[in-house]
Amino acid sequence: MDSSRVLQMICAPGFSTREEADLGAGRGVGMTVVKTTISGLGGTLAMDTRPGKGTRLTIRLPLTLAIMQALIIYIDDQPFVVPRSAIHEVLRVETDAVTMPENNEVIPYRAGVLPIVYLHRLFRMNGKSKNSFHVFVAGSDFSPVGIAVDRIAGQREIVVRSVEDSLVRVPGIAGATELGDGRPVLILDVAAIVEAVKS
Amino acid sequence: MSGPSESFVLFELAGNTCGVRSQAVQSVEMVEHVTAVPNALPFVEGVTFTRGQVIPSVNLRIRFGFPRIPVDLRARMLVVRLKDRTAGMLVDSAREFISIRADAIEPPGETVAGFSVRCVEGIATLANRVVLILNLEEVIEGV
Repeated sequence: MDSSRVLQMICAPGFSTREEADLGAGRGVGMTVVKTTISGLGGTLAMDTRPGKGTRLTIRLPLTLAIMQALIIYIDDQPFVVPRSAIHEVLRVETDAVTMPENNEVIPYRAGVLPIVYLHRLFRMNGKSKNSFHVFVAGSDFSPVGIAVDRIAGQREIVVRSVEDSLVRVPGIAGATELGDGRPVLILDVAAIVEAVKS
Repeated sequence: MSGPSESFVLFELAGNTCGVRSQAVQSVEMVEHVTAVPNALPFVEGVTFTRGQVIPSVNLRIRFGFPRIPVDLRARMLVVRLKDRTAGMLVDSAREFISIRADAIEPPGETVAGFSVRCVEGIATLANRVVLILNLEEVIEGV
């Protein structure tokens, strides 16, 4: 049997090589999910296997996968984009509402407080001082972090391009995109920013 | 006289003429949108698109400690390839492509005015001027 037939069989719902199923494995579900997820994204799954040597599964996904919804934010007139999926909520904050217990800037948030990190400080840029600014809430549900930016300008679909060169791979930046004018716009790495705030 | 020769792209930087092997130069472009990257090294001007790829743009003036000048119409970005990396180098101007005989290139002396010696691979003396042949790997990587 050639490997593409084997692959078909492995991915068939209910196919399992186990005699018995336990809580986590053995029901013939896993590879079916893998296959349908990849197909759903318009990709392909291929397998190359050599008995006694090993098996290589190759997942190919179309580039359009790298399209995501993003918010456009501004820090000191420079646009950045933030993956929509990383944002729980957007708040407009009056500067007066920020208090500083124990050197941490916080704002009242739901029943408690939300620590605030100013992106312009992290990025060593000039922030615009105004009476109010925008905050997007990120991080886990249990310990959310408010990331403060000068303003949030809108939402759109972006194509993600990787930034690989070590000269420009800096903490807090996940990649780049363009918004139609040929100018690269940096994509924020929200997880890294949240991590930086916590440590 | 004859002998093996190589072709170089020449450019100007703060009054010096520099050369890089033309093989390493993918293109010479007008300086367009460069987006600043926060917390990058001072000489990294930012990122720019070339042929759909995001590449770093290095300001060679800052790299070698010369004062910054505003980008004008003569300014160019040399897109260079080193192994698997591609980077842009911002220079004052670039408009020559010449062939230099290997025996016209001499190793650099102790100091080369304003330039880190490691970045200069050789000095070519042409009819009426001196060309600093740059070692791209040191320029881009040897930070």
